[in-house]
Amino acid sequence: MPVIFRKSIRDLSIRYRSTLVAILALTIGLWGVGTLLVSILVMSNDLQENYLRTHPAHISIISEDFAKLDLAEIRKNPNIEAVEFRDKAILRIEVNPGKWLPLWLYSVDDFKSLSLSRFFRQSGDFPPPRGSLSIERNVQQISDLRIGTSARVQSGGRIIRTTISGTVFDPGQAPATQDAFVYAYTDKENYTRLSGETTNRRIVVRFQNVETRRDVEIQFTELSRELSRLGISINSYKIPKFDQHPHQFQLNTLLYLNAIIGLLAFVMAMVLVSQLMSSIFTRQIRQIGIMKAIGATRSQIFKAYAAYIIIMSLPSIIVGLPLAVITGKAYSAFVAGILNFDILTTQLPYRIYAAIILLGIILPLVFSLPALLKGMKVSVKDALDDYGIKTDDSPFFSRLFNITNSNILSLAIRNVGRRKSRMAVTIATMALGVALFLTGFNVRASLKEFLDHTSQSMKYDIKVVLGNSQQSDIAIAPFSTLEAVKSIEGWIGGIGRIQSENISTSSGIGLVAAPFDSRLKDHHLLKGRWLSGSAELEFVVNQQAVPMFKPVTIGKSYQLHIGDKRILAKLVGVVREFDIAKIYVDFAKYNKIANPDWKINSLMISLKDRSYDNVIKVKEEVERIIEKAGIDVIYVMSQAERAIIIFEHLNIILMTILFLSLLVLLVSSIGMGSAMGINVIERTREIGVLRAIGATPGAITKLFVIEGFFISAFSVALGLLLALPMSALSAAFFGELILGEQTPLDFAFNKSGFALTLIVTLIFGYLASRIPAGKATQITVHEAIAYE
Amino acid sequence: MDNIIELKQLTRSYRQGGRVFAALSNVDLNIQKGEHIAITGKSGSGKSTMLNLIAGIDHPTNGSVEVSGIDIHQLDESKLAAWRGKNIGIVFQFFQLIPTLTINENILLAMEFVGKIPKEERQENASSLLRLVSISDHRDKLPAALSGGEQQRAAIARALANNPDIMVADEPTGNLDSATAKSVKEIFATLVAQGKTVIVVTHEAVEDGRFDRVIRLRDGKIVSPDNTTSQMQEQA
Repeated sequence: MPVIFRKSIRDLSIRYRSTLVAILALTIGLWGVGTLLVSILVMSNDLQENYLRTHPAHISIISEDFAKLDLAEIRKNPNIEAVEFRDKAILRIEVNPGKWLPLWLYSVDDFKSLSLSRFFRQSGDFPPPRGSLSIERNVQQISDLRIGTSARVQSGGRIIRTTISGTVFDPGQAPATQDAFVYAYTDKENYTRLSGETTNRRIVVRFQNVETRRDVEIQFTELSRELSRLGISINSYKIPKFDQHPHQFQLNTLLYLNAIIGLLAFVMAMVLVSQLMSSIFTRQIRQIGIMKAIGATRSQIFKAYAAYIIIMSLPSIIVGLPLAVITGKAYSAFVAGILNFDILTTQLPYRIYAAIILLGIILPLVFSLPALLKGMKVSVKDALDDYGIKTDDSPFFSRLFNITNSNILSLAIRNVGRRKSRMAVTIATMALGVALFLTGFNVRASLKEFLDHTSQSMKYDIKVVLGNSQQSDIAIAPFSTLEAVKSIEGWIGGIGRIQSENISTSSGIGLVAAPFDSRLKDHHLLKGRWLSGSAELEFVVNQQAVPMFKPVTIGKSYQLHIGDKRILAKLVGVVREFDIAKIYVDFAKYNKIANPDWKINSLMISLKDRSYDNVIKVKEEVERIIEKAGIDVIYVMSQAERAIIIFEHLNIILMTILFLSLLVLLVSSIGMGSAMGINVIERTREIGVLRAIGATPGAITKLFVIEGFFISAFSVALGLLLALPMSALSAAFFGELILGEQTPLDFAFNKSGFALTLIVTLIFGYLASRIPAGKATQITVHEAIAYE
Repeated sequence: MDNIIELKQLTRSYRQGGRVFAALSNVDLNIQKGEHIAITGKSGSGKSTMLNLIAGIDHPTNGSVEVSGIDIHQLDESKLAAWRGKNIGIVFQFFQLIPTLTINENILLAMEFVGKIPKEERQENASSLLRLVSISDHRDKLPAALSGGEQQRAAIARALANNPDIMVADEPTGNLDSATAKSVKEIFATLVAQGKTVIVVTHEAVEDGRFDRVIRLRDGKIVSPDNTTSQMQEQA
């Protein structure tokens, strides 16, 4: 083996502590980056794969005439890949004594040959024995429903019992844990028994050769013509997001977050590597000078130290690669558990291993280049004359020096400015960590504020959605005896769909008809104004509906399709809410067009005491009234619970932000520790001199700790400045992601988050300076002065 | 005799505290092949600067250093390093051995960098150099395990690794006891006898007649012998 490589190995083994720290930093960096690469690869692939393996339907169509439809005829259509009857009823199921949740019940023709919207057995019997239900696997986490339970199902005011016979995994649905819904599958006979509805009224269809939603719409138009020829008229239809899982947005958020924070953590890990290499080369400068003096060319020195870095990289790859694979898969499994999809990737592609190995070799080299080039460039004379740090006069630090009477404090302050570029990198890295950590808190505050606003904008506490429209006084009467109630308003809404989508227009936008002067809504207005009592038909949309208007113009009249009617209405405002695309119109004006009997189907109940406990208590009373009176109800939902559901959707994102931010801050603190370590090395002789003239170990420690404190303080100040635009940008990003285009969340400054950031940074800063300072005090005067 | 080294109007200035300080000023000097030269002067007189410029480990502010007709400071860093490895052996006051390599490896490393000696001959060459400086028994020890004198002998062996024509030594005995210093001086004398040009920087008395010529420096200028422009200028 060439002598130069022997030197590299021996240098690494002699300075084993530094080597181990460098290997550790490289390993952490590689581990982090590798974990992100693996998890991004697995998650981005598997969620979609999970969804696609269900063979998702492109459209669901409801028609009262489907009973006369022969599916075999439709299947002959070359544009149709698959079609099945999949009736769906929205009922209620008792999940705990007295607690009812919406039940989405699907009837299945043949469990053994599902061609569309497939689901898979998880436990118990499959197919479910006749007369029983298979429930979605996550239901058990939010209910007492177990295999063998005789569950109570509420439908049209009746309560019917049915047995739970098994659980299934439906990758196409959001998990019950997040949406607080129960999904269940049963045979047609049991479906009719439970829902009171006949079957064969809803089909699900998957078309051939469609690639976009627009293609689906075109194919649907063709199909509707064909159905029309067969004498079948369509009542309604729904086109879900094209081949996209309902929780894709959450995963996208996580992937974005992973990518952004991972990139930052990676940059910081590499800055750390760069600092460590700089520390190693600081020690090697003299030897580089010697080697040059005896004839080593720059390229020979470069090769020698490149070998040095590669030798150091190998253990980090050996340890970091399997760790990255394990944690990447574990993290993916964690997210998959929350988003309710299974990890399908059993074997990672070789390219991911190759990429991690390459990263492990190339990146330390690249990030060591500045230190390496600096070492190579130094002249032989300078290298041989290198006895440590030179003072780089800094007026700013000199001025600071002048304001203190303490010599140690003065020296510490001056030391901060002695290596300006290193100090700048250290402060910048630390500041970035501080900024990211603080941004995490601020975004969390923005999201919480948004949720509070959302809750406040809905002034009602409990919403009861009835199975059938009724006259207002009849619908309200059973609940008017409740003493806790402040007021009850009746709104009109449709049957079915999800909780906030009361009536469906033919374009699929939810439509809510509420009194324009209702005190139960106080929306956050993004543009324009709320509905007024003017004679003209006005409407307000939420931000999710904005993209459908292309472009949205306040004051412009648009044609609305409500049921089978087409009317012109003026758009007067845009509101922000965490909900699907919705249109709001005045109750009275809507009634004139589509509800001549002034019926309602939603009861909006506001309470005198709006505390969470009271709302839940009253909700239980409402449930008792519903059961006793046999009222046909689709669901009863409290705002407090809704806020919890929304929070559950966002919590994983918030926690990921904070956890990763803390890691970034930790990595940047290690970077600072490393920079302080280099300072100690460079000042070894100087420390010796200080010790020789009487400086105690305590004084030396103080010197470095004060230096660390100033670096931390500057970092916090700069981090705070950086956090402001970063928080605003992040709030805008999350707003767009959660709420839709051009709807940023409001900027919020989290004071307790800042206090925590400050404390954590100062503690990390203290440790980052205290540990190298401790080493400095262990050097004897003789060793320090003789240090080469 | 042929000049192996020619210094022409050699100047080296440093900036210190905002002021320019000339360590060496317009020096002209010719050194002939096989000469044993001493460069003396007080601390700060410019003797180490002159040696560094001759060895190509520092760069002149003005003027040139020609070695065997090559203006060495016109070479780029890598060529200069390669040239130095082949043509100049350098011995430092503090030995400057690589601390993590054995004595034998220190010598081999110099051969490895330059590539002048064929691979298969390197170990034999290293062994004979170790015999020449009488430290064969220490070949597998790290420098720290050797005394100062032994380390300096090892440094001389390393300087000779590529059989250079010129040896330069900066205070080679400054850190050694008198007996060891004497043996080191004898090695240099042997090398001169073998036809090598040896230039030694020293602040010790050099009246023992060991050197062919003694160049005395004061404030960056040559003050003796008389055959230099600087001297003439000073006299004028």
